Amino acid sequence: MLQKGMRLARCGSLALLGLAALVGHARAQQACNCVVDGYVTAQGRALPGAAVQVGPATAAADDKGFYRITGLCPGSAWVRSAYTGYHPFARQLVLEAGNTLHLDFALLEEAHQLDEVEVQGRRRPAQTAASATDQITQAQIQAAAGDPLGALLARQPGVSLLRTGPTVVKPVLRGLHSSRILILNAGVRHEGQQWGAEHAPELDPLASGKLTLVRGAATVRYGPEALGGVIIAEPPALPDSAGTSGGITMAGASNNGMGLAGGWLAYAPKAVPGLAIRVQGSLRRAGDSRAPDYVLSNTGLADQNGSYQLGYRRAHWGAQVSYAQFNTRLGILLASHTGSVSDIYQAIRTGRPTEVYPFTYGIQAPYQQVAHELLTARAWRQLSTRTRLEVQVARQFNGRQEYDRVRRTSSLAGRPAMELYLTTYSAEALLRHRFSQHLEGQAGVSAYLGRKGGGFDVGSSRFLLRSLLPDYTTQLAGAFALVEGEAGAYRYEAGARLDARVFDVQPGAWPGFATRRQFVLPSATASVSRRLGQHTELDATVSTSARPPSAAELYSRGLHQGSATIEVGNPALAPERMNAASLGLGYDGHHLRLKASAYVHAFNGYVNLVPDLPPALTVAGVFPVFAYRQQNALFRGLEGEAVWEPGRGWQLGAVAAIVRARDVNRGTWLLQIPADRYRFYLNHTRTQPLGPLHQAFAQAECSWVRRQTRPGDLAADSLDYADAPAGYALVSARVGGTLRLAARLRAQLSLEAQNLLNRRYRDYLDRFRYYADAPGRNFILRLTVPFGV
Amino acid sequence: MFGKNTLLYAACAAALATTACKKEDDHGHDHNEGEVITTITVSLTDSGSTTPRTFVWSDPDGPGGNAPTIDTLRLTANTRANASLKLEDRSVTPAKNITVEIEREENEHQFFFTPTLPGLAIAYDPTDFDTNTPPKPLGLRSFWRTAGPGRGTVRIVLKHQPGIKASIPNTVGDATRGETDIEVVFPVIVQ
Repeated sequence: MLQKGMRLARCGSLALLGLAALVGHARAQQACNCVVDGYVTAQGRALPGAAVQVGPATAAADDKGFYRITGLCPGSAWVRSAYTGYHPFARQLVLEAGNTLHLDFALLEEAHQLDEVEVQGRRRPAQTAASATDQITQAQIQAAAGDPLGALLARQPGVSLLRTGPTVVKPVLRGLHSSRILILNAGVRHEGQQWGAEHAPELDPLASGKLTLVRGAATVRYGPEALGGVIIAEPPALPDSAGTSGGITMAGASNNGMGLAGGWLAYAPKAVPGLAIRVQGSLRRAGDSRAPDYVLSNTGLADQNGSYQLGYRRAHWGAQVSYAQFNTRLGILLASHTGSVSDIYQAIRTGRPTEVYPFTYGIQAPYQQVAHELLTARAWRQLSTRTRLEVQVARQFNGRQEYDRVRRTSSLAGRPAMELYLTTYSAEALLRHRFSQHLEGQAGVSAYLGRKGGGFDVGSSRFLLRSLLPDYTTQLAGAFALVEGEAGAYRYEAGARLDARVFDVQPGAWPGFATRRQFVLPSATASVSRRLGQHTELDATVSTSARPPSAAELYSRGLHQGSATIEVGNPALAPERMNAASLGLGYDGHHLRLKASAYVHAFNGYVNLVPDLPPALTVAGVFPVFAYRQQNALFRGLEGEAVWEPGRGWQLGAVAAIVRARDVNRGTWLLQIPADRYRFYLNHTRTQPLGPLHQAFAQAECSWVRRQTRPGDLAADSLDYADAPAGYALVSARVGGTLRLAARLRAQLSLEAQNLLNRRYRDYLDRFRYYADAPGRNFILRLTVPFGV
Repeated sequence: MFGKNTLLYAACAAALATTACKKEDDHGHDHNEGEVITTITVSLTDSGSTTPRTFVWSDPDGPGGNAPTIDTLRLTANTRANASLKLEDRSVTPAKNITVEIEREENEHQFFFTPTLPGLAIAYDPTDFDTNTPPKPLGLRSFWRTAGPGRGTVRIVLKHQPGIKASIPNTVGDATRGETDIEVVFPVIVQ
């Protein structure tokens, strides 16, 4: 939980709000260098254009609902936010010299019976410096309804996508993915089968109210898997005021006939103030995607997702139970289903899929069937004005079945070729204490227990004998402490963490090796940021993090069907350590906003799959053997975004990300590292209505991905099957706005065109690039109708 | 007003309500029995003889463990032989005959033979075609004809071509389509 010092402010009377003319008490003798920033939302959606006034200064929220007012004088000031159709809100606050105060406004529609408004005031923690984090609001999530989680994140600098065809999409942060990226869902470490490159995150973005992306190591706060970064998904806030609200979201896409219907309903009874419930669900169905020249047969999907939250909140304590279920069936491109290395080379020679059938919604084998469940209960209590305690327990279940094409007469017909069940229990306690105006600390303990049962009975239907992975139990316990504070123009943060992890594997998995492995994993971080003038902030972070080897890295042994390689784990692996340093720059001027980071991640014992000679002779031919080895690796990168706002409602932006990763021992480039990516966009939002359309907007963007040339071509000893594909540029566009259907009923409507020029391309990080082109042009029509009663 | 305990009970009740019906434990440790082709037997019956000679390609522990053992096919120069193939899973007891399954699904399977030895010619047995229209070869039985002495290899590939095999326009099939069930290489000596 990021929210700090969450406070409830009661707005006693509405009359007061009307009076809230803004009076600033400037103290002439102090530098006017205070900053107030935050988000303006209503029912979890951003309110672009909402006015925020602090003393004499004003600002309008941008399209993410974000506002920032700089150059404020210390002292007490009224802060006021207003937007037509919503209750204005005002409160008095005290600005301290040189401080940034983060203040989010949750405005209520005028028709509501208002009785309380939530104000979250917090300082921005130094570690999550602006240069390293991004937020995606509920409005943006709904505006991308139907897109997978990864695609939502990919607009942010430093994020690229590891794909297995159109349906399986994983986010890659600064070149790291899978076991090196943590997903935190509703405050709980997401425990799925994230180790597999063809295992997408088991998460429905529509169930989230906000997504936060933290680039770079965050292991001290979040544990060992947060080595490369964290994706934090938070459920939407429960309603603050009595009443019923809800909405529906619908989307349809032209390329794969995708249809999505989702909805949510929130209710807070008047009789029991503080009690609230929210239910949400979505259904998604898609048929085969189409590349410009052919149908990508068997790339359909079917999702059924649902969640609920039940919360009770008083002034000094609160508790919440939430549950989310995710179910998906993902078709795997028929042409990608190869039985041997020769098949892969044959597909590459052919250049286009050999199995192309007419478009269908049907999904046949091979396909993945995945279910994920998360149940959490959390409670918080304000022990004193300075101390807050939070506790959370959670249970997760993850089930994955992969179906293969088998002979109908085979004993495996109708049964998964591979299945894995993982059940995890976790508990966490977190104590926050404010030592003084300038120093705040938090400390926490966490524990979890995971059990893999069932059996990863890989295999191929045709020729596998063993499980790829044995059954195991794993236990993790950790404790951390973090302090953050301010001194003059500096903000700083420092922390340390210690984790212990134990693996117990079923005996006999690896004869001759211990069935128990234990790891002790210390991590530490320190960061400092400094303001330079009114608009510029510099930050620097150093950290050292340790990650235990994953079960797959330790114990897998057998054929990995997805990549047609034999993978051999290494039960002797030591923890992987990453020493990282990063520098960030943020500039926030009147017409120009800029943020940029440069980083170095030096790995000691980077766990990597490397070729292991000789290749294995099997009944299906010769397979390359890859073994998990530890090497020293060096990742360096740059990423940034610049936004120029030449006039009202206009935005011109550019995003860039560059990663270089070397295997220091072998002196070679690491494989599967994202190519250089750039994105340019032009947005226009009308301030005046356009006919019946309010907040009408038009966006055009071009994303340009260069060819990966490190390594690009197949050398004689290459580990890849084909040269890296050519670079490409894709154009997309979006138009939309808000229709007022009735006094209190609005419809948000948008039309998006992806790959507008219907370009043929293959992406280096798409595992299907050997077999087929990526999907072509796609029009997506989306409609969201929120309502309140 | 709700007390703290009331809420705690409510939370626990909700927790129970959502987990009680879980059924993943049903799966328990019910490991699927993987099915593998561990053993391929080539039986060669020289013309004029009735006694087949058998040659075995065998990998009883499946891919990735111990290397397979492979017999060398020995043929007589300038003769003909009838060959038949047998596929088995010997990782289970009793061994499972997979040849029967391939025969049952003959319309989506085909063997392909690629000799590297000059003069060795392998043709499909015309009585071993499937029931597609027009019929396509299966390849469990074949005719081998040798020329002069020499050494080389024979590659035997079994392709699984569901929905593809019937539509391939030629009469000998297409080894580049479908997915590979078997790809083995036997050394050959013709004396």
